[in-house]
Amino acid sequence: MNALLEVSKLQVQFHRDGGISRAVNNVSFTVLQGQSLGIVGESGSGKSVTIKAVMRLLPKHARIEGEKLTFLNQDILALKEGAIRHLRGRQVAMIFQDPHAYLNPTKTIGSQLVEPLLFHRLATKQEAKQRGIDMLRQMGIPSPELRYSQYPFEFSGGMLQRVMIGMALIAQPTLLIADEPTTALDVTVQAQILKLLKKIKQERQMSLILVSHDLVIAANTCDDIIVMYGGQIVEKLPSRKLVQESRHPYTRGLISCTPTVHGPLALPDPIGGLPLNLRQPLPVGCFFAPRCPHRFDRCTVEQPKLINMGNDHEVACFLVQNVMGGVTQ
Amino acid sequence: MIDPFQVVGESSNTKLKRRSMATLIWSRLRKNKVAVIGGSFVLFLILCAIFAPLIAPYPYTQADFLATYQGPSWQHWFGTDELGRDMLSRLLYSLQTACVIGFGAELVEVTLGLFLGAIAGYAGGLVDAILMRIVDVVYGFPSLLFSIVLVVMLGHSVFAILIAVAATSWVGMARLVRGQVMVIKESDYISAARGLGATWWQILRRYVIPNSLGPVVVAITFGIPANMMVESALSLLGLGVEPPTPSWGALISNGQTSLFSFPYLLIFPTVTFALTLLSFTYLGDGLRNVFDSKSLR
Amino acid sequence: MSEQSLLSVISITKQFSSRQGKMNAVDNVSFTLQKGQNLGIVGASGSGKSTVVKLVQRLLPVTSGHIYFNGVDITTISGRSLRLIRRQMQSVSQNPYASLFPNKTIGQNIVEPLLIHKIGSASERVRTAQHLMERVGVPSDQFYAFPHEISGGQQQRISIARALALKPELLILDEAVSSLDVSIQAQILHLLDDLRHEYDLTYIFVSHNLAVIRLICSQVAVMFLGRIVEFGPIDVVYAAPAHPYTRALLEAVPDFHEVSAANEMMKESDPAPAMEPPTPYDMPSGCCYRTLCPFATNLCAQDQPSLQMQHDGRLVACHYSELTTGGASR
Repeated sequence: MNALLEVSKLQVQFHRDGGISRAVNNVSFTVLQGQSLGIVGESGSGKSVTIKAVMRLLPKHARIEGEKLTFLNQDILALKEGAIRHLRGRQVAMIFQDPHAYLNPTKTIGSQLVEPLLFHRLATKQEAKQRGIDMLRQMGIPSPELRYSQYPFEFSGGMLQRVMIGMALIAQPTLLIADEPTTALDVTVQAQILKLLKKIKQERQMSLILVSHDLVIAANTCDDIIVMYGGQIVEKLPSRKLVQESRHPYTRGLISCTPTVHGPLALPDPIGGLPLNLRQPLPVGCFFAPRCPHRFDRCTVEQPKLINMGNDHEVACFLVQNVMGGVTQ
Repeated sequence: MIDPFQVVGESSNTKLKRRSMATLIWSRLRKNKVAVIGGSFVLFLILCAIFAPLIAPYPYTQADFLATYQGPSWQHWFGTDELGRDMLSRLLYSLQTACVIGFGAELVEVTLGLFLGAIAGYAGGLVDAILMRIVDVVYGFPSLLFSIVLVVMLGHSVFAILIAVAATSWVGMARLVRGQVMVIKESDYISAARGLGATWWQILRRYVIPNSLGPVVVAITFGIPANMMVESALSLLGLGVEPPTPSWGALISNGQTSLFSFPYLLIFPTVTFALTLLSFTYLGDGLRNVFDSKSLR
Repeated sequence: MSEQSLLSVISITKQFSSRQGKMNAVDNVSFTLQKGQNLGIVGASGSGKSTVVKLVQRLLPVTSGHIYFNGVDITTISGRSLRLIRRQMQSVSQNPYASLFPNKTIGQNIVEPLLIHKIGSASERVRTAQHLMERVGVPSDQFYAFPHEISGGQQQRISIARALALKPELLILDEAVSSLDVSIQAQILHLLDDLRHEYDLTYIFVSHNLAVIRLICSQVAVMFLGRIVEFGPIDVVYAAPAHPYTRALLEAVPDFHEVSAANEMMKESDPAPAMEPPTPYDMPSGCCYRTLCPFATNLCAQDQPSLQMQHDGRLVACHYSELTTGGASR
């Protein structure tokens, strides 16, 4: 499979009020055609900033550096404003947490849905309407003809998120980026939306990046998982290996912290301490060391690199490195 | 296993000193150079106004018919007017008048506005409706005209002018406070306070009013120079404080008549007046930035 | 109602009127809570779960029904007697930052309830606050930090400390851990569990997260559109949900066990067509869940099912509860 999106050594810093916030530190990953990748982390882990940097959606005071940042071999950082808009609208589509914030309350759902088609001149008005209604039907929205001419306030949150997904898909993008798409929804609706996302991803052979704070959701929806902490990737592995084979203490901690309805009936083991404050000077060693139950001397003086464990599994932790006998990439 | 409740990463190694909201605001404001300069100048003006009798080289009424229309000199820094009165002294005393009216009227406005606005916003319903209709009626009057009518009715004493200035401008403050209170009333911490068992008076006094003060303080810093403007406008129209009490408006209107022959008579009062307004504006802008910043709400 | 129950709520209803008409945010809800028995209230947004606890706290007046706290009818009390009841009934809300007094430091925030009720001298109050700060895991040398200067997890600890200052018997936690990151959420859950024993507390835990409720509560009330549809011991309800809605909720919670089988499962289970859930403004006739229910019949449209006691001690509002009861099929 071809590499669709390649990110190598991405760094993002925010300079403001005389301070520096190091939001993303040396992040590298690749998204293949047809692959779904989950990026998981808590608040301040840099997961959203990474995605926004890739789509050039960050404010002006953000400093983005990277060895490589390409989409289908085009250098994203070098693209002109017009080209990046073309990229965002046609090849890469995005959906966000709060559909209300992205929909114009004074325009009908239909007219907003087909906007990308008309904007990029992909269809005539009549064709666009037909495709819009088809899209609503595919998104599982009942009586799509009627819904097409209704306004956002006449939809529930779950319905609007379906419309947003439809809007993202209508120009047939090659990559869909979903940033916390179900966080604002009720649990039953969330399950429906995630199923829908998986279905369309499979049917269209499209790539998907799902950004989430919820490890379970990401693992259930995506082929591969990236776990981020303090703006770094700490572990990268296929989802099916997550529960059994993940090695990083932070990933293990997240798994044991996440309450489930069928797990053991004991309180989850918490990860001690507080999340890394990216506004303060960063630790010399491993960013997770201050909270890590297994830390030893080396962790506080040296930063672990991502080590390939084979079978698409990479970990940045000295514990693993010790066991592996220091195999490096 | 490390202690789950141990705090790591937050600056917990230093004991924080006792401090209040005021110290927090001051530490923010201090970083804004322009606001600090503006504020210092305002402070300087207030001190000048208070100590005018001590600083002024001459009594403001002392005429010297042998030294009329003198230019600036070591004896008379800002020169003398048509009666040979020292302009510096007259300026200092007019500053005093302006401050008395500016601050005094603002005090009346804040008292009225805070009281009525807070009650209207907090009580809501019929009380709010009645109070706000009164405010609307006052707001509907052309304010300068209303002030003029009041001056004509009440006379030309400093107190009368003060009332005339305050009578129209308190409604803005009342509206501002009411809006603030209505937002705060719906906030989570007010519902928390009710849940804690606070009485309505405790809630109003301890949480609603303190948290609505930010915009009020900003409005005060803009309100004082506005009052000074009204005062000088009245003087300019000959409706200000009774001569010989000096007033900015009177000095400016006086200077106007001899603009070409003795420009310093106009320049000194207008420049100090403009500087005063400007420094209030900078101070107010600085304060607004402090209060607007997200982390202070 | 029995004297010893800490809280009994008897058919309370809360009606709101708006431009869209009248709606019952809470419709004929009853439950009793024994001391030490934590109750979880779950439901989707708009199910009325937060309104129920606002009514219990008397932050909103009920339209009809009665609320007894320690055997005393508190439905219409006011003034001093209400303030005394509120001392024994405290709450922690979802958004700690918004609920802390922004003009007070975090230490002063904990002092505030003591000041309101004029408990102790000034120095005693500060000592109590410092002790509580240490207890919830915030160093007491941060007494003069302002709420906006500390992290969300720390803010929630301070909220909890403030609620504990008056030594309440009942602590209402309204989505108290929902806005926190999972690692911090686990810390707070541990803290709550320890505090419960230490301070002899009873919790009402309102949440949309069924997995969290399960860890803290012994009983659960499932709400849908303002009504309780199932109520019972948590292990009984979770093991074999009797109401179709409870079952749908439990099945919708994602679980790690599915991960390995996720891709295989895909093909068989096509996403169900979306259904617009009913709103309180256009309540369906009969059972409020029938428009979403796969088992609905004519009877469900005609007759509103009432909460019926089952043989295993739970209450279910479904005409076919005997038929539908079964494991969340996995």
